Amino acid sequence: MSDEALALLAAEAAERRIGELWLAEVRAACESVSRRFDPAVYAVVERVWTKNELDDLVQDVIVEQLLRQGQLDYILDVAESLVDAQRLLRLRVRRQLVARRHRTVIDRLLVRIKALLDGEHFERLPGLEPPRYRPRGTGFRTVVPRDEELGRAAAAIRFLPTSPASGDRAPAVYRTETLERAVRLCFEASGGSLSVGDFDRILRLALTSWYPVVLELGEDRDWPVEYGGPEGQWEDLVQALMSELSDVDRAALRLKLSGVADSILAERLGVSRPTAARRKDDAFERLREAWRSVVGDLDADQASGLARELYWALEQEELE
Amino acid sequence: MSGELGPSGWLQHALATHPRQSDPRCREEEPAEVLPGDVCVVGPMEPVALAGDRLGTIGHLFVVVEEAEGEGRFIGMLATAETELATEVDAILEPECSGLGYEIAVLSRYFGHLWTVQVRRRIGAVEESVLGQLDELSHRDEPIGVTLKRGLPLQPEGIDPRYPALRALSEELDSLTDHCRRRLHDLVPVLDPALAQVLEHLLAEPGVRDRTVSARASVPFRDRLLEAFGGLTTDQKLAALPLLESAVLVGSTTRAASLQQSALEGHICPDALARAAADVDGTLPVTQVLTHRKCWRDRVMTPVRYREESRERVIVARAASDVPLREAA
Repeated sequence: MSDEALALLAAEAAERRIGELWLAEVRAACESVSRRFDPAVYAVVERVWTKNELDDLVQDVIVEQLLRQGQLDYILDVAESLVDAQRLLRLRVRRQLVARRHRTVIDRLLVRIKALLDGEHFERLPGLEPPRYRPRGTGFRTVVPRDEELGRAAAAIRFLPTSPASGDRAPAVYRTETLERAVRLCFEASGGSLSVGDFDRILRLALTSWYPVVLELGEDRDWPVEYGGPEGQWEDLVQALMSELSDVDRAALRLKLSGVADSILAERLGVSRPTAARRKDDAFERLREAWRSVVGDLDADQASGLARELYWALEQEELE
Repeated sequence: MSGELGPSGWLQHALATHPRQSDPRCREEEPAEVLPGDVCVVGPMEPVALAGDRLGTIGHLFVVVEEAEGEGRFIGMLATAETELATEVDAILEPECSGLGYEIAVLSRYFGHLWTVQVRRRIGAVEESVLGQLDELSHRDEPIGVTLKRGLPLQPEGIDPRYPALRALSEELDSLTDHCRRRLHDLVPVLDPALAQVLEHLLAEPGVRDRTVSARASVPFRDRLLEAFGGLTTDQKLAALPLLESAVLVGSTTRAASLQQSALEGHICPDALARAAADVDGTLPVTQVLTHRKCWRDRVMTPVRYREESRERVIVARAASDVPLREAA
């Protein structure tokens, strides 16, 4: 660590972790980064970046990013100069701002999910606290799901189509019917009963991989989760692609896109693991061929949109 | 938040609620050697230019998975604090598992060769069982016995938004490992000048010829060998002929010794060894010295890291025969 200014920050961190020097650096980073984020969306109370809003952001960054997530240590581990530390601090501020929106979105989704779970299609399991639910008439297990089961549920829902950007503070993300499908997919993928807390964890996992995109794109574009493009744009192409695939191909693709291991694929297809692996490779190969012959050249955004619609179609087919 | 606890109350509360988690015992600046399991901050061999005439100096995290003993290099697995990038074959390590103050994702398919001089500091370590699981993740799509937390499965390109970030990491890995990967087999050891003073012990041991045949001699070695040669028996002279042949081809030294003699404490003629090390071609950041336990008074040196003409180097000792240095020392 050769930089003198960084050495002073390191000394302060060694003595009392966060002192005047770090507070000044965090504040400067918050002032610089927040300018590029719409306060109507990312501020807590007010619709402009006021001193109070900045104070709140400084506290959030210090408490959540630097202390709870230990990023103060990370910055001091990898930075070689004050400039490095400042660059890393600005990244943490961006992440905190993104997390604010992320959290608001999830909170709103959980309210809607709770309403669905209390509706006619689901039942609350008696005598369990916190309350656990399952689709009515199913025998899903009552035990608390393991991490990998929640991970499977997250993988199953994270590419469901989402609402277009509307510029409001916390977009709905899922249309009502999509949210219902998402909830059902979570139950099926996890194979057990779920609590609202479980849905919270699933949604956090499912939305985690948005971070790199959000951080990569900054605020120059709409929030990346809100996929653009008119609905139904790809319907014909998706149908054409689906018709090129056999039932086994479609099942293999759907399961692999949901993130299941080859051994589970083998179990579902009723074949050995090597055979399942071969079927999976064949299915992807046939999809590639079909894509080449049916779709042709697309730009990256279009290809991404079509891929999501295809995944959605595979999931829909399973549910039907 | 500020309204509840006052202008500095919130900070005191936050500091008390989130104690430091990193383990300072793991920390070492510019280590001369690393061990499997060490978590290190690594930099490039050459500064990387960024836009706007800036240099990219932020270090990268690596877990040492294998050390090439006596060669000043190791195989490292790239890690990142951006844990959302972890896929189903990458492990997410909690602070208590690594000694760091934060979670990291170890990307099991991103590994390569690095020089020890690229290590800026050691900051943590993982246990052998974790290393075993990382190894399992690195080469099996369905790893057995892995209990470490893992990331979300990577989906095909186009629908998984992590590809650009993962691709950028892959490019960074290539640039960090490129120097070592290209020069892996270029390492030529240098003969410890003091070998000439312990020839009767050295020549009695197996493997001397194989180990020294491609080693580089230096002026201090040549001078000492010529001085000692007359006192050898006929058989010893015959055995020492290859050493003599390489010694007589040595050119004169022009480089000044930059290795401090104090770093070679315990050697029977540290000034000669320092000059021999300076005589080595400087394209590699490692000087490997072929030595013998008798060249050292008590224990053979551990690797030493030092600066030479604004570049860092590591000097490491290796046995000039099949008898391990530590065995007899």
